Amino acid sequence: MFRLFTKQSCVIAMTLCLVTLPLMQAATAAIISTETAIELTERVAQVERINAVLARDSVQGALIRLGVDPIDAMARVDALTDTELQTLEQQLDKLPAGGTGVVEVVGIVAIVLIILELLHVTNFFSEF
Amino acid sequence: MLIAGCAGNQRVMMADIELQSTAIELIDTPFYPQITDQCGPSALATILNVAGVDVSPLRLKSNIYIPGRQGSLQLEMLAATRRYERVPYILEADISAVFSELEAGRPVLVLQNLGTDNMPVWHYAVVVGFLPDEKRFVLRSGDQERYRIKAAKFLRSWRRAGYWAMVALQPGTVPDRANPEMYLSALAAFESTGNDAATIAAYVAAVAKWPENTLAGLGLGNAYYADGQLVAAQQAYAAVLRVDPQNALILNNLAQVLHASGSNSEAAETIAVALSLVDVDSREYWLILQTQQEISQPGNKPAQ
Repeated sequence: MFRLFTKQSCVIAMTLCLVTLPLMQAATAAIISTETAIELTERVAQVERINAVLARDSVQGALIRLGVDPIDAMARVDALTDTELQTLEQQLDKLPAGGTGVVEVVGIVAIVLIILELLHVTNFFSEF
Repeated sequence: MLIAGCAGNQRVMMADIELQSTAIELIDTPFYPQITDQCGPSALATILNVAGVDVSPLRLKSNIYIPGRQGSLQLEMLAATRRYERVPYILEADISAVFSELEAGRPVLVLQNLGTDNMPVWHYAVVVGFLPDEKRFVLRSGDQERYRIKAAKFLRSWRRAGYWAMVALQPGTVPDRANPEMYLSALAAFESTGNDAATIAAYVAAVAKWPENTLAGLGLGNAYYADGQLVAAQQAYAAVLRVDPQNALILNNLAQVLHASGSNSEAAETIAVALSLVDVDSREYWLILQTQQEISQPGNKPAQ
């Protein structure tokens, strides 16, 4: 009985959050934005919008830890959409970070080739 | 959206490359030699310059570079493009889309994986041309102003990066081959920059290209409304309703605009119709109910 009650409270609390969330939005509250319209067609749960607020702080903190200037970090998270923020929150460490110079590539490729050679996977060097 | 899987087909793309018989090279594209690991800022500055934005890689570094990752993320490349009032559009995973952009005079920023799938080496470069005689692409890449890479080799490195490519569009420009869903989702994100004039220009172009697309019409109406142009907003919504009379979202927004214009009874009728069109259990219903409550409160001043 108690369990059932708490489950119901959760559902009610969540429903309240979902219903009141549009209220928290600014002046154009009654206008349904294109972003919302897209979400509606994609059936993205509204819960994700709540998470976006949390994601913002989390991504900002992560950027600062990774060496980004705190003032820049704030402006950078402001430039991201809710969906982008959530993607970054979950995958900031895994997403491709393009940045390699050509010199580094040559170095990495050489190391890989040497390792493969040592493991006798290839015979790149012994060919010569 | 990010690493979008290997949707394209390497063999089909090689065939498309074989068919590309005219040489293209956007020789006026600026070149910013890459400093150490900052190919992201260099590549982005290159395409933004062509799109009319005067910005240097050094300035972009504070917008997109992450020291701890020694590089720049795709999502931040998009966000930074929006900050400079250009629309970042991700191309379809197809080499024909790249050719089409080059022909339109836009260099294409690509992500490459110069390593392997298991040991990726991520790199941004800008495709500025294609030489059919040599079957090579011309890139602004790293410290090379005119890197001529064999087409097959380029395709492999691009495939390993999920065929990711983007262009920076001046608001109001729609690529010939643009996919409406991709383009409109880029615009939905662009709206958040708050530049109403640019957003309006972008949606006007979208509606001109896809007159039957309700999302484009919704965006245009919203953009006018955000800019305080109530009559234009009303006309934009009305145009969508001629194609799709039972679109509850459009009716909702139209009701809000009517209310803001002082046509309260019309607004009340419109919102009642909108409400009757959606399922009581749906999220749409709650959103529309919300609007109804707001516009029916006496003395409730319109949002403008």
